[in-house]
Amino acid sequence: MNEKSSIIQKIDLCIVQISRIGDVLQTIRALQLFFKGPTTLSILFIGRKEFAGPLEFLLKKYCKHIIYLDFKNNLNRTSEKALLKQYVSDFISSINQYEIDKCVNLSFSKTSSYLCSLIKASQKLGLSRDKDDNLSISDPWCQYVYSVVMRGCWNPFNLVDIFISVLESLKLRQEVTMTILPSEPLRISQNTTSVVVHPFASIDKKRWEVSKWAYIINYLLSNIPNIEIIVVGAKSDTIEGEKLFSDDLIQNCFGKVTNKIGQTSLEQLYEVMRCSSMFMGHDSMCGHLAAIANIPCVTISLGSVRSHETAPYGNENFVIAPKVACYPCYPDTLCNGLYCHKTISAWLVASFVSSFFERIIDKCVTYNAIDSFLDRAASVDIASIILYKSGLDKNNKLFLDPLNIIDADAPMLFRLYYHIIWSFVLEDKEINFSIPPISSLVATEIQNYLEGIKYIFELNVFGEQYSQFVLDECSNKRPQLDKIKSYIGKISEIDGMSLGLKEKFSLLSPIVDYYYVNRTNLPGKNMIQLASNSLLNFKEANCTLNILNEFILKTIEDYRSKQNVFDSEINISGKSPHITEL
Amino acid sequence: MSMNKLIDEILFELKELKKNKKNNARTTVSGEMDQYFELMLLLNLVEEESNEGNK
Repeated sequence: MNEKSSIIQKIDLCIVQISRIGDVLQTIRALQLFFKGPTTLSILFIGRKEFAGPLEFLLKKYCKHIIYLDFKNNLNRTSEKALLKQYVSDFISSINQYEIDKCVNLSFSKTSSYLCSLIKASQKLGLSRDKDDNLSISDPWCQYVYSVVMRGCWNPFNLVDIFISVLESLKLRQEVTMTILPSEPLRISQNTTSVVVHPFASIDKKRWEVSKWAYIINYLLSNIPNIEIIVVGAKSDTIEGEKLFSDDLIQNCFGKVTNKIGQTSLEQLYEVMRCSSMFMGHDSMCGHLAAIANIPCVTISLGSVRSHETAPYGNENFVIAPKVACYPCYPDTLCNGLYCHKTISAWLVASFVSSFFERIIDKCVTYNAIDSFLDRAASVDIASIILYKSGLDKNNKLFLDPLNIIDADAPMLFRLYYHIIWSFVLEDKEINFSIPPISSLVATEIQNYLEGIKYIFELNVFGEQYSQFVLDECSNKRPQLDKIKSYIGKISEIDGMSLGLKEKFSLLSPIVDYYYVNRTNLPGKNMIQLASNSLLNFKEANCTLNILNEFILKTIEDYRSKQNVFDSEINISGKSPHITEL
Repeated sequence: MSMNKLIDEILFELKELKKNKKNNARTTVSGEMDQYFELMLLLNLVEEESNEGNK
């Protein structure tokens, strides 16, 4: 062994996370829950200097090695191609100086796919490139992220859980089991209780105007004794912060509100959170930091925020989301009205938070804070929101339980179906949820999806047939290439038609997209292996559609039986019978 | 140098690389692909920063 090889350090796991700070925090939360404590594994973290750098104090708890991609600063210094090329080359060399066993890309961006293609590792998960520059995603969970999470809003899983599932699929040598403790109960002291408020977000769509937060802060300070509010934010939030602190409602608070906007590093902010009783804010990286600090979180989700994916990860946290058809929108959706901002009243949020503190202060054990809040809230206000409480399913995956919903709408139902379906398809784990009540309109809407399932099912049967034709042709003594090409062409046509049906049956998109991405990443070294796997893929897609079909039928059956009971009750009382639309 | 000019330069080099690939069959595939991936990585990084600046 020469001197050079003797100093090569071995890395058990290399994590690539070059996305923004929120994604880095969700990755850290996944590591925190996955490893539960210090790990003996040698972990290398690769992140951007501007996003991962401020979180080094947390990353170091799990990652022995950290390499930063500092491209932004390099580009600011020079725009000479040769120098930038050299920087990229040196950056790659600094990674490949290690002997990496497993590499996982949790970024899901085009840039990260090229980066991962250049990393030398025995096993790679996540986006990468093959030798023909095609996108390559070998594992089911990463295929799921690429096809379902990145293309729509019907993903039922929190990103932290998805990251944990990806880590689990690596089968690391250390035995690990994930557990999650509920957020620590509210810490109420005799003297003063602190609530951290972050009234900002990365884009305007995701945050209220500050006057609403001024109302909430004033309400809490007026209604809860011995409470102090700490307002936090980045330097870039300073101007909005000044607006907040110049509001009359805040000016009247006589020093009970501390302005820490732009005054803390993330490490200092983390310490502030650890000493606080609660976090309130919009969906932003601060919520994830609060979850890591294990304090109860109340999040107001607006605009393009997908609560199920990005809610602060912890048991018994709360999310308040608007109940409007356009929510969640997409980051690039133009919106002048910001209707979702108006549907959640500041009073409602303030009243909800204050009910928690009342419970503790009154020391009344049987007093249910949520029931109390729901009783107090005006029916108009409460009908325009969805109040979620986070919990864990049987497989330790986070789910958001809607507390104030009388009738589920179709997206809510499908998210529930998909939670069960994907747990089974991707992890072979079974979970049960009870079917929530639905209205006649929703029953009609979901019944229409049976037609979409039938169409896609039939297309998949054709897919199976053409895959079988390819196999049959390959087994001939003299296979004809033209025939094989024509069958493959038919499979492409089937893909095109299935993808086309998504427009009419949008809630079926996850299944169509997942199996399409899975099909474009089939393992196989030759035509026979590929065709066999293609056949299997179409069969699996139809099994999944069958499960969904059963769920819809069961929901409609439940609805009808409840309606029958309801109708017979009305008949007994002598009123006219209710006619169901189904 | 503007960001657009830098992107054009990288695109030009990528084009040349593809041209050389056709002409020089003896180049090792992995080395050639690494060179290509490094350039694509650089291109995407520059484009990301450019898009960020245009927001």
